[in-house]
Amino acid sequence: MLKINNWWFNPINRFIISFIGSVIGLIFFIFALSIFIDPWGLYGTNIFKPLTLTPRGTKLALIAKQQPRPDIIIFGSSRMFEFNPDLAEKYTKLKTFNASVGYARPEEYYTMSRYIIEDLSITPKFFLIGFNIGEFNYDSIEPETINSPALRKYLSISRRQLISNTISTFKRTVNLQYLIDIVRTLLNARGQALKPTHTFLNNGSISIDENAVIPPKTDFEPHNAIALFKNMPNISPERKKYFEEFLAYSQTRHIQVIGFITPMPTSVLRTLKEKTNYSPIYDQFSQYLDETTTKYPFRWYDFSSVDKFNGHENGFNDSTHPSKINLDLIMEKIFSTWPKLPPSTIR
Amino acid sequence: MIFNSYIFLFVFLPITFIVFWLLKNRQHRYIWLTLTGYIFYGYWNWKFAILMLITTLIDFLAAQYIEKNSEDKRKMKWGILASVISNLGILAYFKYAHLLVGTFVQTANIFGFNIPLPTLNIILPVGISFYTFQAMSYTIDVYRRHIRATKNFFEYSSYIALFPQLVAGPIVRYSDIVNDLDNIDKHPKSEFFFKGINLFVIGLVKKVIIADSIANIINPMLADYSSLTSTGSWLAIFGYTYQLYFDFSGYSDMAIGLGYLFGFKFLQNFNSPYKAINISDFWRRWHMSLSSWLKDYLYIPLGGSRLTPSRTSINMLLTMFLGGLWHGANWTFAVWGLYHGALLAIHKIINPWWNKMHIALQRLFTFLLVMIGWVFFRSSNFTMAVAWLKKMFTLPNINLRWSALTAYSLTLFILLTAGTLIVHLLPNTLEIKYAPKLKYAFVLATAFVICLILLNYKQSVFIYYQF
Repeated sequence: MLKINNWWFNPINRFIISFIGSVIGLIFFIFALSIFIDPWGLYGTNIFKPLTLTPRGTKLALIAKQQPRPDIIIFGSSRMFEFNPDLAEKYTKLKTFNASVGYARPEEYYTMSRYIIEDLSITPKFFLIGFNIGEFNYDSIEPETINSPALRKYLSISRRQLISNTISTFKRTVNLQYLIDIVRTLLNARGQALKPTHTFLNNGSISIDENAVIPPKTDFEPHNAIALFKNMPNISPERKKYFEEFLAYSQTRHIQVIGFITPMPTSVLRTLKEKTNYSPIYDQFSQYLDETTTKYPFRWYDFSSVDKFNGHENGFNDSTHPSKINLDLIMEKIFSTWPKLPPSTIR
Repeated sequence: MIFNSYIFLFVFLPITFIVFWLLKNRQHRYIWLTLTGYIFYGYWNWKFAILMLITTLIDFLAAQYIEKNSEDKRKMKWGILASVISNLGILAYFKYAHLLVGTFVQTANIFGFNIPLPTLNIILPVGISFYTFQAMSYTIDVYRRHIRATKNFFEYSSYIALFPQLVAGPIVRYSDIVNDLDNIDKHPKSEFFFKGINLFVIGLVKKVIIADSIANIINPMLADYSSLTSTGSWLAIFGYTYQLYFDFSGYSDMAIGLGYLFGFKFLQNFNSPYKAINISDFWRRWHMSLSSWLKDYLYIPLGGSRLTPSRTSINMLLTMFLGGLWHGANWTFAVWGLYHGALLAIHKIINPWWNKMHIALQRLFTFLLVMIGWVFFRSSNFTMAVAWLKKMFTLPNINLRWSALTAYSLTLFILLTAGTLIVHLLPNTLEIKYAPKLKYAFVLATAFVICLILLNYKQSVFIYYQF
């Protein structure tokens, strides 16, 4: 004990311990503030009104306000952002909402569908999903989904996963702007209107400038497309599990599910076939979707390349995102003979 | 790996530190420092870690050979030649091959010989300029019998691969830390940790808060230098003058601080250089490890100032020319070096009259002369340097109104003002008397955490990392 006392009496030792303790304390303090105040709505704490909502939060808030309640709900990733629900309504006369969110995967379809049906009491007639072949990969569940209390309750994740996700979200997001927004959230605590991060229209599709003149482009950098297939030897069993849970759940609610593979430019597909295992993954994925059509009320279409739906090579915003041009054509392909749907893509 | 990164601060450094002090045996500590040095270096590219290992082996064996044959001058010469040629050879190949080939082709084209420029895909190994100079200082000092060659390979390799100074200096001489190496198995000293933490955090603040903030503003300005106004060109050079100082001295502070954490006392590398009263004084304060290296291993062997005045001037020009080229494989660096060589030579002549000026004027003119030189240091080519200087010296266009001074960014003006106060009036990092007060510990911790938060926005590389 005397030795420890002597050690502590040295002012330099006390300084060093105080420094280390202060660093740890400050980091924890900022961590606690981040979760408690949650200026960007990342953790779903909702003690203070966040300055912005996450895209998932924005879409769920929008769908809650839909009147009349939608009969067709569109799921998918950012590749479906420009999918126009109004065009679907024109063909089907059914209220349609675009619930696509960035980096959406089967767990998003499952959790969002359950939230929409059980929490918002909206039971649509159809779910329409725009798949991308790489989405059944081994990437972690999106932090936004894990951090959202509305969606998290439908996920089967462990406490450890939740804690690790919270810490990684904190590490990824905390910067000077974030701290400024913590202060702004505190100051705006009284009745500030929610401001979404993305500008979505009331029907859920992303706001685009119809009058913008975008020069046609066909040469796209394929890096983003290639990245999806990195470390993807096959389609993930966990993602298949979430997808089948989604299909089974839809079946119990008498909801028909329609899916299609979203297209990519021909030049990008060529690169993917050369540099990644896109081709075997594509075969596996197609075979898997075929198998699910026999077990669930599900039909799907292969629109993975423009020749499969008479699309346009310049109907893309980048190497992975089809633009309104091609998405409208796909919509027409699926719904123009409504109420009859074209036959599934059966191999 | 860089100091201002999370992987270094939260993974590499804590593990290296804890394991180092848990090891009690001297040899184990040498091995651990060698291993961690190679991990630190190899994190960037493991292939070049092998290159460093090869040169380390060559220099270690060369020094052994020189010492073993200390009675045979011829053999000693072979030993030193082996070391110098191998170090300068790899430096010439990796750093200057492209420049030399490009210059040769361009010169040939001027004389009408149309030689196509070959594509040389040579990657410049990080820190090569530093560790080759460090290694040469060792073998040359052994040759000169200033130090004894160590027979312990790991003692030597830990000296070369010592991660605090491995990739961006200071250029540490073996003689400076030989006592620290010999006593590496001693117990840790709180005073060293205390000094180390202070220096490291202050260095981090200088880099992350000041240097990077200035860089974020002036880099876009200089990317479009043709659009700069005269006032803007001066703001840009002021900004770069302070950015370079805070970036490099910040790194040096961090390196020295890290050295203290492991029981090493590195020498000071910056001694308030912008307070210099003449150009000679500037070079006794700026990048002191390099300037002393050039003096001891290049300038003095050339004859130094012992010969005729004209020969002394030539020696200065040649030394500074090579010193400039050391900084980068671009002729703009060489011109910067020649510029300083010329200033040094001229100063030798006009010294009696220079000293008659008021000290404030001596400092002001020295600062301005140094600042003008930085135009060449920062410019990517002569076109940019000339255009920039032209704008600076179109004096009637200079506008000192508040609107002009803050036209690019109010933040830049604030940073320049703060920078001016710090570099011209305040003591430098090693002059500060650090007091182990608890409230100061909290202030330092707050500064450190602010740096961590700012790092999350962008992790930028130190300027001298590219050398």
